[in-house]
Amino acid sequence: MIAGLADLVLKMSLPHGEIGDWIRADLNREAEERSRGSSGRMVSLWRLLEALKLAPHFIAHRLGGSSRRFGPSQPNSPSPGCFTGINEDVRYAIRRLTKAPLMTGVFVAVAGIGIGASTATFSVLDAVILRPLPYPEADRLVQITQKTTPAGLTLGRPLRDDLPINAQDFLVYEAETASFSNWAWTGDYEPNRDATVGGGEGAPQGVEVIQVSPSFFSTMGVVLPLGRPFLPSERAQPNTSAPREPWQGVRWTGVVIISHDLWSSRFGSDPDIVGKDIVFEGGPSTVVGVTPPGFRFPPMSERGEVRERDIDVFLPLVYPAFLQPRTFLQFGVIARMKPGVETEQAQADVSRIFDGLAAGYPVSHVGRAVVLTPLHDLLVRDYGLAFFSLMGMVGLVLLVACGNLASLVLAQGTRRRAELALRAAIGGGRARLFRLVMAESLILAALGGVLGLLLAHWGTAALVAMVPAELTRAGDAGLDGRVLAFALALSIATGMIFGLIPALRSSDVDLVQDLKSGGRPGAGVGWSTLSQSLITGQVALTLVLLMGGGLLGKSFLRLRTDDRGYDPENILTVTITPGYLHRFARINSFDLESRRTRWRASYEIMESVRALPGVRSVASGEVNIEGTGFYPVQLRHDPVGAGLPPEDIVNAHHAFVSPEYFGTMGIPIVRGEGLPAWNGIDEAERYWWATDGPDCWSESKASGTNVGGSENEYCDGPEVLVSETFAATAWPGEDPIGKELGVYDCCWTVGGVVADVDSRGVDAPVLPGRLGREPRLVIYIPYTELGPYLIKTDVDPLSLVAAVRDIIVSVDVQAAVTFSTLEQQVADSLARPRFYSVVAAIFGGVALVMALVGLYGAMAYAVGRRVHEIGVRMALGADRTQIRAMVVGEGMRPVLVGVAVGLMASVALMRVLEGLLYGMEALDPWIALGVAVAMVGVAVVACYSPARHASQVDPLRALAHE
Amino acid sequence: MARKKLGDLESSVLIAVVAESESAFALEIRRAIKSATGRAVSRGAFYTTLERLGQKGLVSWENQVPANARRELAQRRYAITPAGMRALEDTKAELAAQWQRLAAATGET
Repeated sequence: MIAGLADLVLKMSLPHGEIGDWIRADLNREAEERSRGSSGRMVSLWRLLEALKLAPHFIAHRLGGSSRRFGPSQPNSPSPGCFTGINEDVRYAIRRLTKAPLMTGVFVAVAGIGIGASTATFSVLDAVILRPLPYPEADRLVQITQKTTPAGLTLGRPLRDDLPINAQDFLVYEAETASFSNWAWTGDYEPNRDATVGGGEGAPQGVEVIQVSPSFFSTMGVVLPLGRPFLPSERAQPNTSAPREPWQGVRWTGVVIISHDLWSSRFGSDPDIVGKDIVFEGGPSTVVGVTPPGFRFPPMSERGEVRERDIDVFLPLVYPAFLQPRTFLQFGVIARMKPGVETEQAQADVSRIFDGLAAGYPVSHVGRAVVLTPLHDLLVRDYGLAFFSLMGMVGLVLLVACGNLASLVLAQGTRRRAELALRAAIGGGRARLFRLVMAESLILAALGGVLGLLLAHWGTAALVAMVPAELTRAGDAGLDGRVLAFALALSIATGMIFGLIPALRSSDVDLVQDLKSGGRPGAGVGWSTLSQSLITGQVALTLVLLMGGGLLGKSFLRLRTDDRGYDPENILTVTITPGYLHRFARINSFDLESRRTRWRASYEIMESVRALPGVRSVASGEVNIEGTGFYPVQLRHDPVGAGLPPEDIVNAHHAFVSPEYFGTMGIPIVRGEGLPAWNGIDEAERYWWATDGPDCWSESKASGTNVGGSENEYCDGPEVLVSETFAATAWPGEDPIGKELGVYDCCWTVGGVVADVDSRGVDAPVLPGRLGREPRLVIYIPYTELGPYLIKTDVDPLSLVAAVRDIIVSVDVQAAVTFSTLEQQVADSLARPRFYSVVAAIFGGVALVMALVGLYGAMAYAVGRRVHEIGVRMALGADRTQIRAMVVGEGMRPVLVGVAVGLMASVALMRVLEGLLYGMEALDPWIALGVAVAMVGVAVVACYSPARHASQVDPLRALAHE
Repeated sequence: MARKKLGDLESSVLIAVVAESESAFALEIRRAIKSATGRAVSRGAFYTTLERLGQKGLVSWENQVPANARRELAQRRYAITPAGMRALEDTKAELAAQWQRLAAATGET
């Protein structure tokens, strides 16, 4: 990158032909010598610096038409003609700029920072949102989901717009719509579970798996470079031996398609992989295809967020239409619209089908509607606000930079009035003078653009490192053609914006006045309204930025310090992707005995870990309550499955936990007792049997009595705990202890109430909204099945990793185990708000520094011009304090106006940020006050030094100045 | 014919070309000037001066690969021309004459 930039600079500046070649060769030779002593990066940097030093020299020569002096290769160059003027302007500008290297440096730095920050932000924005998705004619791809309408809300169910589609419904959509050319459907292999792949190189690894219909790849417009897509005959078959949950116990047809990455990293890019067996979930599976390099699973909205996943293994999707009741929503659906079909048209088409379905099956469709969303819109919807806000902020930073540069050029322009007047006197027209000043601004902006590109190169890398990990496409950000074009346009615009005002002013020369004053100090009166307005503008923009940064920062701090309802300190989290045990249970068969094996293994793991030194307690259970899914719970029994009225259904998360969960997590039990302890594996198994075994469901199925009624002798389901909000929602004002809940065909008894915890959990990224998080309805069920485990320790949690891994691998050799700490997971979940607030703070800080440098420069310059006047004042009796107060007062006037303007602008603009804030209003008076006070305070400091300087003027000397 | 006196940098470059003789490549010439005068020459000014001397016919060059360099780094190896040598001599004579005038004016011998 740096080397490329150096080449570009050399190519643009050096003379063409043999001369340029030998100069380049000389530089390269020296670079080669240096590379023996230092790193390649340092040498590239050196080469770039040398190129930048050379560039003005040769550009001046080339533009100056000084072919006579330089280079035999152009002995008879044609007369420069009508562009002579421009050439000379540029030459002159370059000479002026090289004569004042410090000033030029400041200019280039300010422009470079502005352009660099904008370009870096743009490159990430472009990669994440603006660029079309990497599929052929991606704008025709849509996701089809269902949304809840307020009419269909049962207790505890939030409004959602990304509910999956029922399989039977899907078949109707596919058959009866006319707007689509392809349909594909996808299903989670198993929510929140990964699988393992062995074979090839290394130990078994955890992989991300998804199930797709055979039509998936053709819908995406993707041709597999190796092998073929799934055949309709390869879809997994329902498992008829597991009548209770047949759609889960699928029989495996043993074929997989693997990702290009997995193929190259694990199987050494074996060209003959198709047809070979790999180890998937502990058993052989045949590879039938490999995805093209760079192919990514499309972003899809589910459970309230847009997920972009790097899928390693694709499985053929079970075809379960005949198994699923119409109330069961399971499948993600992607369709490709026919060419020329508009989104609205397609939406009307699917809505028509939905209305038909709703008329035919009112119970399963009440309170819902079908929604069609272009895949690209999903990204914009999820990240658009944040990224466009950041882009807006960086735009403000660039404007501050332009204002800053304009005041600097203006100050120079004032100093140059005499020179310009002289030029006008000897025949320079207005246009010429305008061009002269403009050339300087444009050259500065161009140099700023070069520096900006360099900064953007690093800035992009830094931004990508900060971007939340789930934004996988951010990694594609880089300085490509689009970004370079953006930077170029930005540089020209910057030069135009900051050069225009001074150029217009400079060309407006008053010959007599300016020649007479000869540019001497004291020639003008104070500082111009224009400079003051520029300061005002910069202060106002900076204030807006600081407000944004302050709001996002406060929101982030609030998220971080918020009580989540549990204590994450010293907790090791262990996630197991089971190998042998998993396959044993899920793929081969779905009998209770194999689940029992898994369950007992889990119990043994916990017992062994508990015996480790340094372990205080061990529990099994998800921290991420939100990710556990969301199921209806009946407050009354519904023996015939006819559906209960909405007031008898509560939607709640089901958290499967071991009894130690609450103690380990530090979640208080507010009513009743905790879950009964499991004393030994046999007693524990009694609970497992009650939860997952046959007793509960068969018994309750046989009985048809009311769960909530008094004759409940049939209900021997386990005791469960519920969250405070659940109790308050389901039984307001009543004692929840002893109440019974119906879940599918089983029943549970409430044994206690647990304090609410942060509903978002730690795995789900926090998506702050103004209202903050609402506590969710949770049922805690005593059950464990191979983790995840939470280990509370007295020592550094990570010091136990090796010992815990040994225990798990001794139970399941093929398991892939992932360790983290709960504190780390909590921190990770705040990646998005942290990213927004850090970036906003950086932009605010940069703008603040720029505005202050601008203010200081303008003040120092104004004071310098008024030395004479100040001398007169002092001679007439003004004391130093008065002078100081006068200067600071004059400097602060535009600042105060700027603060007022900025505050008013913030009121309007900050509403935009509302969707990014957590639990607070966009109008935060304390932040406004703090920012305003800070701005004023720092401005006083910036004014003070010039004021002090002014007060130290020696009246005698100042008068002699004249 | 009154030849125009060489500039300081021009003289330094020519002297360095003579001094480096067989290895008078740009890099070596620049280093020689630095070690002789103690000052680094700005790269831009240096290249321009070399070009100008070539144009005036005071140096000539051929393309060669310096020792310890890769093939693609072939570059000009400079040599002074008879005219260049004359220009150096003239400049030296002119400078000497001036120093003599200074000595005469201050009364030194």
